[in-house]
Amino acid sequence: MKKFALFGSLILVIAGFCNPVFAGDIVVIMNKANSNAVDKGMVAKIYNGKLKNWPSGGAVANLSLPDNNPETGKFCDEIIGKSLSHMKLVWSQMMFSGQALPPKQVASDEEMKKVVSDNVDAIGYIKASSLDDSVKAAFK
Amino acid sequence: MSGFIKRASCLIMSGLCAAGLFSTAQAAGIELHGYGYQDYVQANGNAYLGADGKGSWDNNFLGLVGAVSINDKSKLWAQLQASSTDQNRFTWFFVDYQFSNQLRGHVGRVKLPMGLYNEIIDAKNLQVSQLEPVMYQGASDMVYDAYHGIGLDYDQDVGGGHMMWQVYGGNIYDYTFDPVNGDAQDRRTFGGRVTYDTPVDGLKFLLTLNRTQMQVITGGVRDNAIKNEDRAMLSASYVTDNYDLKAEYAHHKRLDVTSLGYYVQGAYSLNDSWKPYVRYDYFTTDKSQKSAPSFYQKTFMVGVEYKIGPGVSVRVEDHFNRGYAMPVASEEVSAGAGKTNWGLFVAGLNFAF
Repeated sequence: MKKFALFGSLILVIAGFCNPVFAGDIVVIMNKANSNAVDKGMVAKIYNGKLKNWPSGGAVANLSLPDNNPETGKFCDEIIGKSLSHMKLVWSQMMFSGQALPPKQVASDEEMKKVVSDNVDAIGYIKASSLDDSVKAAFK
Repeated sequence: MSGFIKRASCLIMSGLCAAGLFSTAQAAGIELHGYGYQDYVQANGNAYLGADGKGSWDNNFLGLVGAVSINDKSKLWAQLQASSTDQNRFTWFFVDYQFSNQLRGHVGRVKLPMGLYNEIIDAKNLQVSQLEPVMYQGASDMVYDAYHGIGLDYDQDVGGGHMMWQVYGGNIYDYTFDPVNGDAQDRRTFGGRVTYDTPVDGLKFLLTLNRTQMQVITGGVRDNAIKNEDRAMLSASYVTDNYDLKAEYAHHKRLDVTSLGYYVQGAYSLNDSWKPYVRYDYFTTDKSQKSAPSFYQKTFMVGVEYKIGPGVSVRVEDHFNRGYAMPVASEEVSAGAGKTNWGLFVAGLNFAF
């Protein structure tokens, strides 16, 4: 019995490592056909306007949820590493000096998934619980 | 007052037209954003910025910024401006081409990359104070609006930080030049700016250099000899969620006259709505006469910003000035005839959409 319990615990631990664990409860999503290797640092560069084209080619189409959506604040804090107010200033500065456009806004997780699944160059974020087969997680 | 109503109406109409343009623009694939401000300025002791002791509402601005993708690598950008003190015009418009993630080029009428503020000088919503530091004020003649030409930007990761190298060349876009009475015309310009984002989060340093060739005009006759006019700026900025600290030094040599200035500025966000700020500014329009009040200006400024809502804020600030170099440079006060100690009160409403 003891051996079975130990074995069962080991299985659960291994399963925990195999299953995706996302930052907080936010997941960065990409189109399933997008083969670029993405990590947090790359996502931060994209949303800071420093990376505009995918290594494989194609202009990055980065998306965001509305400012008043709690996931947006969490995305900025946990993935980009900056507050939402700081990022809004960065996006405004880039926009009003002609350097880069701010992320295109979509209304909800469902719309985010729809846009990302329809566009191979799109990248966005949703609640982890909203993830389904229409898109893939960018990183774990 | 009727003049104010007329100007306000023009701006309101511009804003409404802009709002009405949005759905049309978006349908056409054009990204359209805008910003603006309306200031009240009161100058006590010396007239400045078109204001005197009675105050003036004649400082306002509306900018519409549009961008449309030409293809995956290039966009067309433009800013159309309207204000009560200037003709409506395109502040800048250029085509942007992304050669790679590191290298980007632009050609057209491009905002001159100088210091921390020049490209966003009209976007008060992006600045700490309502009135910009003296070195950026028009009368200081330290910065240009834009150039017609070509620019290149190159990004590189350096250790844990990041550098952006910017170079450009072309002709100065000088819409203020008076072909009848002007005594010099700025022509070719070239220069660059290096921005170093250090590994310390929020800390960056900038170095800006510019050489402009000018042609002296005497009695309506253009001198064949071209003279060089040189500008340099050193900038530092440290911005966190709560603090915004900035300092810049600028140096300008034009013919036999050297002007220079510096400022240090700090702001602290008490919460999401309130942000007090202070600045000390020094500027001399002629280093050889820097002890004369007509040619120097020392300013201590204190102000506070209140964010009313998303994209809307108000600011109130008081400028305590010693020396009146700026009113003399803007020809609102004659040299030797101004008040050494004088004040400037500025209140402003800012918005962005």
